[in-house]
Amino acid sequence: MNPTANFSTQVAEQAVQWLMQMQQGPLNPRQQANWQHWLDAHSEHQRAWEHIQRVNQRLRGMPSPLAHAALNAPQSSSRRQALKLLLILGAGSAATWGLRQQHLIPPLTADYRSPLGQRRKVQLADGSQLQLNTASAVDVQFDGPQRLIRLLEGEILLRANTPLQIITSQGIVTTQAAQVNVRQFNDHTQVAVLDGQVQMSPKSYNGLPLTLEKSHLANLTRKGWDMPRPTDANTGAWADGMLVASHMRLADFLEELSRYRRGQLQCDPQVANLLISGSYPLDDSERILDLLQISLPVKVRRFTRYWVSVEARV
Amino acid sequence: MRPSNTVEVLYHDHHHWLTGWLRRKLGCPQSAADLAQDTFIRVLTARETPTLIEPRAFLTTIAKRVLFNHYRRQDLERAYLDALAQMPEFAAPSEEERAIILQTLMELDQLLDGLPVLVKRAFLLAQLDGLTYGQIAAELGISIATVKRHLNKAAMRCYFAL
Repeated sequence: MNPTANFSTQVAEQAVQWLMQMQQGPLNPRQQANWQHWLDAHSEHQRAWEHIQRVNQRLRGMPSPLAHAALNAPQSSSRRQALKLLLILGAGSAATWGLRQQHLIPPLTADYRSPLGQRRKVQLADGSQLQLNTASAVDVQFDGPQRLIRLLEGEILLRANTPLQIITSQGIVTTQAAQVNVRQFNDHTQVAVLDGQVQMSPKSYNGLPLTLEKSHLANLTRKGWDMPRPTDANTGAWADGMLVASHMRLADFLEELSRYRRGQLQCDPQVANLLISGSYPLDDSERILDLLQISLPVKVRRFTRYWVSVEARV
Repeated sequence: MRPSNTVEVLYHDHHHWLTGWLRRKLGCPQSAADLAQDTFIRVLTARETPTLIEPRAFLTTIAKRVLFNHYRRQDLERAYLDALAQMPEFAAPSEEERAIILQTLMELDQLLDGLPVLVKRAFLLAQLDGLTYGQIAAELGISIATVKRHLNKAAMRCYFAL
């Protein structure tokens, strides 16, 4: 199957233009509308877009040092010889992509979005204050008395002045005047109350909601919640640009840190259970990695600047 | 005569000769037999088989291309294995993943074939490392406008072979 042959140059150019625009940062609402318009305009546009997503899906997860090394492989003399032979004859044709993965990435559309490694403050129409942590997205719907915030991905800190509802993949969080931190994980939502109180209702559950009190946090799944426990110093610390660890496992610490930086951050299982404490400024993750080497028996190896592993020091 | 017959005749008359030709180039009977096979598969899957006045010239033309790809794969695989050996074991891909990754890299290499090194590197930095244009520009020591031009070029190739 040769999918590349099925697209006109013009459509290919347009699809690549949109891809590049999205890679540059979130689309504003007008661009989103234009993109949607383009996508809906013709089935060939949709096929081209899906094709790009499938190729990207295949590239995703590839260890980048391997790709950089392989594609920049030095030419052996026999290949140079063969190349000379070939150049005399004219160029070869390009191979085509086999399509195995069917999973497509949903389009990036949201009212408010924060790029990776950045935080964003938004003042809502009712005076409530919303902060978005790294790589987060929300839709905000204020229709009369109905005030909804849909957390699409990432983490938010909300200082609500009026009654509000936050919808996540697992359920609904209802607040009066309260300060609440909500984080969307893959399979659950973590809700932490910094001030006031909130009610949480799982999606597939009809009983009474859980009331979560000030200085408590709990995890919400579609069917229920776990035992509320006290918040810690790290709860909402990101809003001040800090990562606060108190006897945190190194593996968990690095996972947290990697939310804020580009590239891959790997942790050697040998050092995964080392414990780390302290306050770390999120805006300089390189420095945090350097500091790790001083405070723990670990070595930070940078294969490329964006592919880093933390290993046991031998 | 139907095309399949042409290939059959071609195979029957020249397969032995072609294997010998490849063996002289490669110095390895095993690879020569494989590449001779690849050459005929290319002939079979070619959109149109031309009327052959010089069948051996036609076959060597295709065999040279097969030979070049063979060397290219060898170079790529060697660089891949070198890089793999340097990765910490805990972060290295599993055995099954390795085969898929190598295959994907070979396809990617063919697709991006002929593009300048900086274009390829910019593409990998954007797609695999997730860097912004500004970061790529700093990494490669080029302007943001050039980064955009490179990425556009690489994307047209990688996604649409254009």
